[in-house]
Amino acid sequence: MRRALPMIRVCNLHKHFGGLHVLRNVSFEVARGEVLVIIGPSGSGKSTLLRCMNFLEEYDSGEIWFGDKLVGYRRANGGRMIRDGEASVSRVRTRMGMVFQNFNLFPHKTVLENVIEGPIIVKRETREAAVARAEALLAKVGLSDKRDVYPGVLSGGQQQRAAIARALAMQPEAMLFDEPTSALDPELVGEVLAVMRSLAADGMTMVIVTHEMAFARDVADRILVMDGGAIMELGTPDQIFNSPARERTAEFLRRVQH
Amino acid sequence: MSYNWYFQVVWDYRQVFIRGAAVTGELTIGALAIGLVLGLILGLLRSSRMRALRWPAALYIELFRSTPILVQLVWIYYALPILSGVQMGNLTSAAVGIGLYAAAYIAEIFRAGIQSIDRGQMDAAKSIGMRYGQAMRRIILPQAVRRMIPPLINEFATLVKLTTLGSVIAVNELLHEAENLINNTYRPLEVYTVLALTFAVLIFPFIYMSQRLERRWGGRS
Repeated sequence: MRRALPMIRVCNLHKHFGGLHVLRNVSFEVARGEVLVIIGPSGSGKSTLLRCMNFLEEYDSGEIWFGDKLVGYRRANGGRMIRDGEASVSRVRTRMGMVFQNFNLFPHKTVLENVIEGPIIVKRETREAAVARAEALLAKVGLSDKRDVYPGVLSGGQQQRAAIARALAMQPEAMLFDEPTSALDPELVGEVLAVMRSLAADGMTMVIVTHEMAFARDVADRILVMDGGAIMELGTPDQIFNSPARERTAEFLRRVQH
Repeated sequence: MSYNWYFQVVWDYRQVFIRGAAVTGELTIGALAIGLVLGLILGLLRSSRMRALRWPAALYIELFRSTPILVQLVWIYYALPILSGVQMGNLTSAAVGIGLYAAAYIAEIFRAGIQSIDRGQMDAAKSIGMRYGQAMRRIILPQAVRRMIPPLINEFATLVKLTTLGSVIAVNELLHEAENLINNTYRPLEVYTVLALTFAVLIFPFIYMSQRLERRWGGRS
């Protein structure tokens, strides 16, 4: 029996910022329906790794596969990797939703307009179809009453829930979360995590960079610990939190949990 | 010291001002169209990530900002035809000259506007599968334009006033008409006073409009 193709496969990934080696030989897979949480000290390359996965950040060598599509590059005759065209990169991006630390809602558009923008402009859906799904998604994230307001008047938690609805409107096969609660006031973190929990329960494939350790422990199928641009440890929450293989992992967890 | 103002003469020749204002308007619209289109293109090139696109735009902008517009106008009217064989009428020459000059400044306004938009907006647009052009048109530029309105109106006011330079290549705009009128009436004080007020009346509505727009859009970003 052939093993099912992983949703996302990262192989021997390297990236430099100038002279800085920010990703060092990173390899892992994300299975369909899996929730992978990435933790680690700041500056360890977590966000850069996530941004490489939908090619908001270019990588220097290695491969990232989304399903059967190489992200950002294609093989030329003879196997050499060449930069993929814009249309192809954009197409693979539509297959994964991304949620940002600073929400990045479009401030000149209402909440509803934010959510229908991608489906109408990128997927060329009819306005009726896009609005119908947007309304369902806004109900799911608890923002039905905010559909016609501009993002500027929303709280951080509401903005982030709207941003999640915007990403989901593209009907992605996977969702990437880049520290989705780091910019929120503590009392607003819960409402965003609740939406993410329900997504996980629906079986969405998710890759989440976060500092919320309790959430990671609860929701993650596996946890990836980054340090200095490399993978320090990859395992189930039980392994990582209760019997970490590396002393540095234990040290990091002690530091963030107190 | 006393001077007997005699504005009646200006009123008698009001047709001259109306005619001049029409040409000034034409020249402004022509130069503005050239300046906006070319300025947008240059501004986009100037903010490109590719050096091969950025460089020529930067060269153009610096060249036009560092030479006097009067020299540019005269050059386009007298030198360009000799070099290229293309002879444009004086109104067209003036519109092209002022337009090319304004484009350099408008390009900088566009560039500054585009760069003032948070990088996360482009990231978000790309993350929902938009291409660069779609993201610019639908997400970046609509936000940038609002920030660009005050400097653009400023540039527009400057441009209206620059059209008076058309007089040196015999375009019948307001200043040129006024000078002709002075030669007929020997009333320079009255004519220049009314000329100045005419420009104020032409330009003020736009400045007022820009302030209104700024206030209306203020609350949304």
